[in-house]
Amino acid sequence: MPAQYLMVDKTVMKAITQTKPYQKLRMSTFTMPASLLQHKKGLLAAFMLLMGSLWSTDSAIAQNATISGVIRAKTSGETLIGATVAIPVLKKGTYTDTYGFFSLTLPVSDDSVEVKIIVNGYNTESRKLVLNKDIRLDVELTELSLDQVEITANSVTEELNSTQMSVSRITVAEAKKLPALFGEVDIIKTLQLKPGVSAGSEGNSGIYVRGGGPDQNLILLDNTVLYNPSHLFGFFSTFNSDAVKTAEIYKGGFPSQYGGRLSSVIDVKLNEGNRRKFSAAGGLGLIASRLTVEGPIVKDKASFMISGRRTYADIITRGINQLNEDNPDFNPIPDYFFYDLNGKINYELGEKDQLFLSGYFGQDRFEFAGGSFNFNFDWGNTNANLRWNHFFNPKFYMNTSLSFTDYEYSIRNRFDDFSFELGSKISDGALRTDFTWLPNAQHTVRFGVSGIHHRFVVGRLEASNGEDDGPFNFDFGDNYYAMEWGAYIADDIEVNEKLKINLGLRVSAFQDFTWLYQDPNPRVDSTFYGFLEPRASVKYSLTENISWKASYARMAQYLHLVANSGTTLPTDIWYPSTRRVNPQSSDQIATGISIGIGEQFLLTNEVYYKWLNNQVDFKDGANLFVNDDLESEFVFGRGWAYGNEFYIEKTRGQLTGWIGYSLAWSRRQFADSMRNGDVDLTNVINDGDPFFARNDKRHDISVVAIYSLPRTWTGYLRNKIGWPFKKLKEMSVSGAWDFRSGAAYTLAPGFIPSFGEGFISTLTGQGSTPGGNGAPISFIPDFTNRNNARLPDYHKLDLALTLSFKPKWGETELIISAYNAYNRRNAFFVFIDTRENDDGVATGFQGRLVSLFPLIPSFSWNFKF
Amino acid sequence: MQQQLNTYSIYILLVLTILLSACGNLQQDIELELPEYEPEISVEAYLQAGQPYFLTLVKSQPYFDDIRVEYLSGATVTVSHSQGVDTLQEFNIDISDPTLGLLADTALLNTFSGIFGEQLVFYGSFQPVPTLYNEDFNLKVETLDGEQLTATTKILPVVPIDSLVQQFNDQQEAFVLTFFTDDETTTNFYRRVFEFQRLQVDSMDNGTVDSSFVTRVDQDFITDDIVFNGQPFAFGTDFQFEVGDTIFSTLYHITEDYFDFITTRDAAVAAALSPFGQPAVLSSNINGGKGIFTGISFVRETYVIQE
Repeated sequence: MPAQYLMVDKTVMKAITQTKPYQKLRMSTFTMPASLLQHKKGLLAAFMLLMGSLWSTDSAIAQNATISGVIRAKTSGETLIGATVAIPVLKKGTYTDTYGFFSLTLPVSDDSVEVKIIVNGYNTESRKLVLNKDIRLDVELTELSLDQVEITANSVTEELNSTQMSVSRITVAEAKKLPALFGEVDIIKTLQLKPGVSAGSEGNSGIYVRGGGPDQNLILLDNTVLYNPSHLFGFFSTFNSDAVKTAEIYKGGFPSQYGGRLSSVIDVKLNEGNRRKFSAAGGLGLIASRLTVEGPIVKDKASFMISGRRTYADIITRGINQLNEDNPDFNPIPDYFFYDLNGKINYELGEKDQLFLSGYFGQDRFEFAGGSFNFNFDWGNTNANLRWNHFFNPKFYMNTSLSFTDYEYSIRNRFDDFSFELGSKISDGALRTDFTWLPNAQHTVRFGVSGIHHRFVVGRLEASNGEDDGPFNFDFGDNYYAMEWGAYIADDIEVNEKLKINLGLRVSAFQDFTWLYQDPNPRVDSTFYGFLEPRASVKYSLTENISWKASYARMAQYLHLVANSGTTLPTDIWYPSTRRVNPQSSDQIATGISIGIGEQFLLTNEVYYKWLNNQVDFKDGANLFVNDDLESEFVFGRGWAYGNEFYIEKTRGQLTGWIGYSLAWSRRQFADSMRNGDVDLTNVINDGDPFFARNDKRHDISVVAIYSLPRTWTGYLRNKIGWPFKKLKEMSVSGAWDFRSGAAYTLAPGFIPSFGEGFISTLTGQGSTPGGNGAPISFIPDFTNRNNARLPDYHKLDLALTLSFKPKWGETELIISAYNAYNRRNAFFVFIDTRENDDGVATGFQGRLVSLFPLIPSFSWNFKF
Repeated sequence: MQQQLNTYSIYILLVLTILLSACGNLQQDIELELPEYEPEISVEAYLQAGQPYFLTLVKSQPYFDDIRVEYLSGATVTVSHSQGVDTLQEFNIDISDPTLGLLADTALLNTFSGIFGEQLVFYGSFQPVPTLYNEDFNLKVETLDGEQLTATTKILPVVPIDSLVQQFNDQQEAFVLTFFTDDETTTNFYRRVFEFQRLQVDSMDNGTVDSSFVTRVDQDFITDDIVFNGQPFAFGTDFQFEVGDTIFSTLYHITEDYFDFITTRDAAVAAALSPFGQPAVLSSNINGGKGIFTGISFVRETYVIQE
């Protein structure tokens, strides 16, 4: 509480350390000059609320008791996130956090009360307790059998009671029930089905949230940033569904502990590993196979989980290449594969301390080898995180993380003795500490600090002819070093049964200290940027089943992604804020209503408006690859986005699923760039006029349904048909239909005939261009306005049938799916082709549409034992 | 070099796309709604010391119209420089005129007659462009409609090729290095063109042997001097030559305006062909219109691969 104390003058301080602090504090404050009071009315009111009720804790400490503990799954010992811990008779409750921990402070009483622990997919547990002292309550829940599982993402009660808005959570269990491209379950693509979250191009795992860019998402894997969360140019994400436990996406109302990106936070948590027994799970899919092994290291104290995934198309292509080794006309097929490895160890040091070590290593590899020519293109992430969880007492705990993350790509080209290597990388070392303090039933206070050391290698080019010197040996590119700092404090305040407020403040700073590493002449001046990022949200329960929410959040982003294409490429590089490149920032306001309809339905509707400041784009024809002065290619502007998101979810029953609809607008304007403090009018985009962002998609509708087929059906198949349904336990069908208005793209409305230099030669037989001149005329597309055209609307239906078996040795699952079931030719992109007359003579130009995925049937087989 | 690097990841993605879309015939014609477009005048003129003036003056067209070059006749075109003012005259050339064949590649022109129309219109002069390096040339064009276009450029001094060096590998295939030295005091832009000629001998069915020289353009790209500023540098080739091959190595010293024009032109063409390029507005140094007015200077070395 030091921050609050600092804001109170000495008399107040003295007063509040005496017997009736709450009363005194209020009185002291009321003696302040009225003008001052009026001036800072809002701030004071909030402050009073915070101070007053926080203080009331200490005075009332003798009258309160705290129940706290960890909720786990019985068979695996995995912690359960978002479990409801409720005392119905007192109308009090809370939820477990991302570590499965809860803490609930209540007035002391000698009566026995019933505590209920409710998690979807698990049997509800009850405990009778007498609240006359602090109680540790660790509960383990048994999983419902397969045919009883109810899939749900958001608990209706949590949604109605929490101040947090604009958040969606997906469990892997849910994602696995839905159809997937090539049968490869991808939690990020499931998130794209939520309103306000949009995909880039078809099949791409890139994410655009509420009109923001794909680089404005903070993607965390067990608290560590992943800089490029995609494989195979974005068609698959780096998240192996067997290793992941949950994924949450925050689109607005960002909690204060998060910072560094403007548009979203995607928080992915890995499984911790079975604490009870060894088990294995895996699967065979159309393009990749997976294997996960987990088990106890010390029973109930320590466990591990290791999970791997690899594609195998290269094994087939290598075979084809070998068969054709003697065929001179055969062009070898390049090798391509990706793999990733996830691992986690957790160790309970004692009742109060727990250690977690998790790591990720993933790579994409592309190799082409032919004769004396060799071409390799590799990219991937490496990250590791060590977290120490310590309980000072049931109401005060801490998480300290030491983490490392790295993303790099390299292109290696070897030709006989000559070689060149081009690459970029970003690597971070980070230390952060987060504290949670639950002084009483009315407050949850979170505060913490973080420091990240960034190292950037931008466009490193090395060429060599195998000798030590000569015209072919050079080394080119830039290194940057920077520190990013963050500190925050936030309080989730339950003012009364109806009103909850969350107030937070984050302070962030960024310092580029590249000069420190440069010897002898610093090329870049040290730059310092700082931001105050206030966060606030409020929930008011209009009735027991209707809540109104509103939020405001400011975010700052100090890193910029240098990418000049419409799709996720591994060569997109991260660039720091420097003297010339200012940080980006955003302000977002949102308000919405959440309605629980019966026990089965949840309806939410949210409206938002987002201002994006200092957005980065690039000059026309910018060279983003080998450029010693990359910053000279940047242009700076602003953006704004607004929209409405409607969402209705059926959380229970045989049929579950949701319908989401978002109506949204997103614009950018690059009018005049500031360069070295001067307005630079030469680097505008679109003549400085506003234009729609590429991801501006007016309408986005998703309909997702999972239907558990009646038991009579499974019974019939099992008993009447027998093999292969003998061990059939459950069947479900699922479908996902997605509609998105066509994305904006830039179409040249005209062309310029160009004769070029060579025309002199064609006409006069002499000139500057010798030999073959090619065509004596070419046509240059005349681009005018940015994003002036629209791709056709996108829509697609995916279907899946899941058959779950329970043989003696474990569980298996067969998933048969149809991606793009009605074979819609969606636009991957549009290009301009020549138009020919009947004689095959070119007469003009026309558009052609390229689609990527037709109807793709696929199957995958999963096992677990 | 930059262009080559630029294309790697895009190339791989395009290959994947084409492979995938080839499987399912996933390309189709589409009616695109074209945004409004106001045609503009485009000028192209390349000044080469000692060569006649040559300038084209045309209008741009809406993208999906039938291609038919619209020439602007009757314009007044002058180029002023330190030695005076040169006035360019209009030439109207009938493509079907048989006498044209003495100079021009009429077969090639005829292939495009539907596009050019029956007449080719351009502006030129019989007097040569004066040899004035690093001096301003000012272009002024006034059309019949009274529209004025202006531009300024320079002819840059030739950057000599220091040497051509050949080297064989174990398979007796040679590659060739073209050495030159960049001037450290200025920011320079280069265009590199590399061609080779090989005697191709074919055995005919009737037992005779037919032979002909085949010329191929092997490289044509532009670069700035960022990577090798002020250093001797060499452009290389693949191990691809046999003894007796004739190679032509050309080094152009180009203006920054022309470099920007080529960069944005290529980017615009790439962006129209795929979504992976960044749409680029054509960079032009013509005030009042589009196009390019630039000096051209180059050196070309010929070399025959030795044993």
